[in-house]
Amino acid sequence: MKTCFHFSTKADIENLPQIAGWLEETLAGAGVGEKDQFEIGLAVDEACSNIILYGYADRSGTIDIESCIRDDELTVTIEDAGKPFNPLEVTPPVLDADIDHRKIGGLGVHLIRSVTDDLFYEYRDGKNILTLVKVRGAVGCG
Amino acid sequence: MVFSMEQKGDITVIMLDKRIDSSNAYDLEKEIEKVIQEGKRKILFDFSGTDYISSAGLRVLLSTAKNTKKTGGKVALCSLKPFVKEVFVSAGFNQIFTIYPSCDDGISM
Repeated sequence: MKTCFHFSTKADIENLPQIAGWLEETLAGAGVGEKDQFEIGLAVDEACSNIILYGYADRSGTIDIESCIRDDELTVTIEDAGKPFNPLEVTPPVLDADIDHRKIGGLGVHLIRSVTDDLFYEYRDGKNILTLVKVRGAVGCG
Repeated sequence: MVFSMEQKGDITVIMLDKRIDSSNAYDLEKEIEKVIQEGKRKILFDFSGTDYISSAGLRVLLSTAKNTKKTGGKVALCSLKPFVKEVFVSAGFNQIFTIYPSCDDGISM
């Protein structure tokens, strides 16, 4: 069985908690475990932050999010009409550098990768379409 | 203010909000900069009330650690909830920061 929910909001940094609240409510309502909720929530927050801060840096616009819940898998598709940005092309950060040499760049995308099982990106009809896939943890633990 | 603060001896304890993301990280960074400018050199971040942190929050902590290091100061973290700690571990930040299980332990930093 697959259940999908849709949310659309203005691409404004102030709206990030609203996106997180909607996702949490949707996932919790469908019985998704807390760990899966936290991890997919982190990935969505990081992706939306990038869209708002970089994709829509010089323009206003909207973000459309669709969250689909299956028994074994969660998928979240995020669409925006900001500047084309393929997160799959971001260079991974050096994680073992000491504090003086540690750079923060690319950390958001790294976190997205670390909490998801698959990522798909395409630029179609003037839109960035990013799909996050997460295999659900065991029932009661996930 | 996006946090509350308490002075314990020479340690400034900063109690962070429930959620640290791109929507409040900038304000947090500005407030912490003020604290450092006031000459506070030992900062302990109390995460006991924090359920969520994103890379925007990690960025603030890294910049605070870099700034305090320049003046011979020190930054440590305490009472991280399991999911929040997972973010630190994923980012390799557990190798950069001293993390105390409880804030009472952190007071001896």
